[in-house]
Amino acid sequence: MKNQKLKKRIMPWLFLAPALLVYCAVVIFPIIQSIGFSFYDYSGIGAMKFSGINNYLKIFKNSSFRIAIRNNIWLMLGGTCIQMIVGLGLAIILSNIRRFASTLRVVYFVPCIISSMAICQIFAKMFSITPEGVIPGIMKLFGMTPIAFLSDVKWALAIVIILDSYKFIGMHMIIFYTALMDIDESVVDAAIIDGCGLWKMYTKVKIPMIINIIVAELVILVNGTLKAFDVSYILTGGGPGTATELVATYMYKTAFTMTKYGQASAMAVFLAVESLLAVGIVRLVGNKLQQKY
Amino acid sequence: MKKRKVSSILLSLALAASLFTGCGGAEPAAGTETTPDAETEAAETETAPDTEAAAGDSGYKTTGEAYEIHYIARSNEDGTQMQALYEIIDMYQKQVNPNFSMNIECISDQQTHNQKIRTLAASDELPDWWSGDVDSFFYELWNAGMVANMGDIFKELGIYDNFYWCALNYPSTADGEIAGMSWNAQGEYFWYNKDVFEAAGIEKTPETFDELLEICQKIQDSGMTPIGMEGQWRLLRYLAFIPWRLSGNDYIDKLAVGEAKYSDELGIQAAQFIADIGQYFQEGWTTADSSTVMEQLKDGQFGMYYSGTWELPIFSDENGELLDNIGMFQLPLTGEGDVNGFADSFSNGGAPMFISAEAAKEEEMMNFLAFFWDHYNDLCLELGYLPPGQPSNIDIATDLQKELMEDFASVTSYAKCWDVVVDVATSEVLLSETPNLTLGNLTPEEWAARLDEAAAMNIE
Repeated sequence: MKNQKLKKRIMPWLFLAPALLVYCAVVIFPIIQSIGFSFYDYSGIGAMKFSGINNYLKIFKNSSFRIAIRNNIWLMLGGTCIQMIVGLGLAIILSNIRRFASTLRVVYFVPCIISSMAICQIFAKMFSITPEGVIPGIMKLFGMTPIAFLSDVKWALAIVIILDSYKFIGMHMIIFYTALMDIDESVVDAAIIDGCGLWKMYTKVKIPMIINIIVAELVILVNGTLKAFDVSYILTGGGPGTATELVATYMYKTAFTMTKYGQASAMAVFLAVESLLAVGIVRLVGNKLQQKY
Repeated sequence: MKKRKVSSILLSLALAASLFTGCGGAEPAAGTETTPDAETEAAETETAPDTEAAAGDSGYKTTGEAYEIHYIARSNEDGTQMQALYEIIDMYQKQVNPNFSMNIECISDQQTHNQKIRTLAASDELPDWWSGDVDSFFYELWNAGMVANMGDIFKELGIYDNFYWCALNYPSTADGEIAGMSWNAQGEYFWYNKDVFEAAGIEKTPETFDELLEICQKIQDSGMTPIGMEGQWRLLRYLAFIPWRLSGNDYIDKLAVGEAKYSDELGIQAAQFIADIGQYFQEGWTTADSSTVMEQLKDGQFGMYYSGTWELPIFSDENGELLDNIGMFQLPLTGEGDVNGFADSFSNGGAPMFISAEAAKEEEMMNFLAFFWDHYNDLCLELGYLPPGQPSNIDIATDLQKELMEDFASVTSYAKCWDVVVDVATSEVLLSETPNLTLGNLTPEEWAARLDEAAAMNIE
C-alpha cells in the first residue's frame, strides 16, 4: 500500500523530469547566468571585470534605454487593448455565424502562421512612399497627402503596435472562440427564456463565464508585449531615431552591436523583473475579478 | 496492470530520448541569414575542390593537401570581390591545388555582419577571413593578438609596394600597422542625373556647400526630389562633410577619445548642415534600400545620390563609360577656411578583409594569398571596378577607370568614416539619433547633448 502511494507520487515527476530538465537548462540556468553577467563588464574579448551595480546605474542613466521602456509601455497598453478587444470581438462574431465560420477562422488565423519577416516586408512595401506603396496610393486617391508612416516619429510606434497586434489577433480569437463555444447551452437557453437580449447575454452571462480565460489571456498579452522584438526590429530597426526602440531591441543591440554583454544582461534582468511585476499585478486584479464573477 | 506499467516505462524512456535528440551537436548551420531588405540577403557558398583537375606545373608553391578557408564577407553574393574571388579560387584549384576550397558566407547588411563577427569572436570562433572595419571592437581583437599583421605578410610576399597608398593604409591601426587588405580603390562622389539638373535650369555642378543647397532648392522647386538617400553610414558622411573641410580628421579624432564634444562649434555646424540638407531627401528615406534608390536616380526621380566608385558597374554602360544621363562631382568646399581641397575626400579601400592570426600561420594560406594578389588587380579591372593595387596591364582599363585610378593614386590623405572611428557604443547612438536630427525631431543642440551624454558614458 505504501509502495503504491509512493509510486503514485513519483510517477508524475518522472514524466515531468525531461521537460523540467530542458526548462531548467534553457530558461532557469540562463537567467541565473544573466544575473551573474549583469555585475560584470565584458565585451566578449579578454577577461570579465567585476563592476558591481554599475551596469544597472548606467542603463537607467541612458536616455535611449528610458525611451525604450516608455515605448514598450505604450506597446504593452496599446497591443493588449487591440488584441483583447479585436480578438474577443471576432470570436463573438464567429460564434454567432454558421456559414463560412470555419473558413473565416482559418483566414483570421493566417497572420499567426506567416513569419514576422514576411509580414514586415509586405507592410514595409505597402507603406513605402518612394516607390509608392498601396497605402500612400490610397491616401492620394482620397485627396490626402501621403504620410511616410514608418519614417515619421509620430506614427512609427503606432504602426509597430498595430502590426504586432495584427500578427497575434488570430491566436487570441481562437482561444476566446473555443471558450465561448464551451459554454453550456442550457445556461444560454435559460438566459434567453429569462428575456436576455444579445448585449446582456454577452455582458452578463457569457463574458463573466469565461473570465478565467480572459485573465489568462491578459497575462499572456502583458508578458508577450513587454518582450516584443521582431516587428520593431525588422520593420524599423528601432527607428526612426529611437521612436520604435523597445527594451528587447535595445538589449539586443547593446549585446551584439555594442558588445556590452554586462549592460545587456542588466537589461535582461530588468525585463524579467518588469514582466514578473506586470504579470503579478494582472493576476491580482484577475483573481479579484474571478471572485466577483 | 502490468501492461500499464510497461507502457508507462516505455513512455518515460521515449520522453527522455527526445530530450537528448534536442541537444544536438554544435555544428554550425548552413549560413542562411535572413535580414530586412532585398540587398541584405546572405548566402553561403562552398567552393568544392575539383578533385578531377590536375595541379599542373603552375610555378606557384603549394602543399597539395586539403585546405579550407572559412570567410565571412560583408558583401553581396554577386559583388566585385566575390566575382573575382570565385574566379581566383577556380583558377587556383585547376592550376595549383585541386584540394583547396573556400567556405564563403556573404552577409551584405553591415549591422548583421558585424553582429555575427562580434558574437563569433566572443565565443572564440573567429573565421579564417572576415570583413570589417578598424573600429574600437577591432582594436580589442588586435590587442589580443587575434589578427594577422597584413603589412608583414605583404612584405613577405613581396607585394607591399604594389598597392596604392590609400588602399594600403586605409586598413591600418593608429600606430601605422597594416591590419587588413583593401578590396578596391574607392573614391566617393555625388552621382547626379544630368536631365534633372537641366530641367531645373542648373548649368554647373556645385563647388561649395551653399551652392549645393541652392541646387537642391532649385530641383525641389522644379518638382523633383533633390537627393536620394538610404542607409545609416551614408547619413554620417553628410554629417562629416563640414568638419572634414574645416579641420581634416582632427575633430573626429578628438571626438573619438573625448577631447572634443559634439556640442563644440564644429559639431553644431555639422548638425545644422545635415538638418538643412535633410529636407531635400526623399520621403520615407529611412526605410529605403540602395538598389531602388540607384535605379530611381538613373530614371530621373532623384537629382543626386552620394556614393562611391563601387557603383561604377551600375552607372556605366556596356563599354564601362558613364551612362549618358549620369555625371559625377566631387565633395564641395565650404568656401571659407577649408584646410583641404577637392581632391581630398572620402577615399578608402572598401571594408577591409582581415585574417586571423592562427590562419595566417598556415603555409597553404600564404600560398593562396600569393596567387590571389598576382591575379586580383587585373580581374578587378576586367569586372569594371578599380583595383587596390597596380594591375599588370593597364590597357584593359576604360578611360573612366584610368581617370579615376589616377585620382586615387594621387590621394595622400583621406577623410575618416565617423561610424568607424567613434567607439561602437557611441556609434550606435550616432546612427540612431542622426536620423532624428535629419527628420527635424531634434535641434542640433539637442542632438549634440545626446551624443555628448553617450560619449561620456562610453569613452573610457
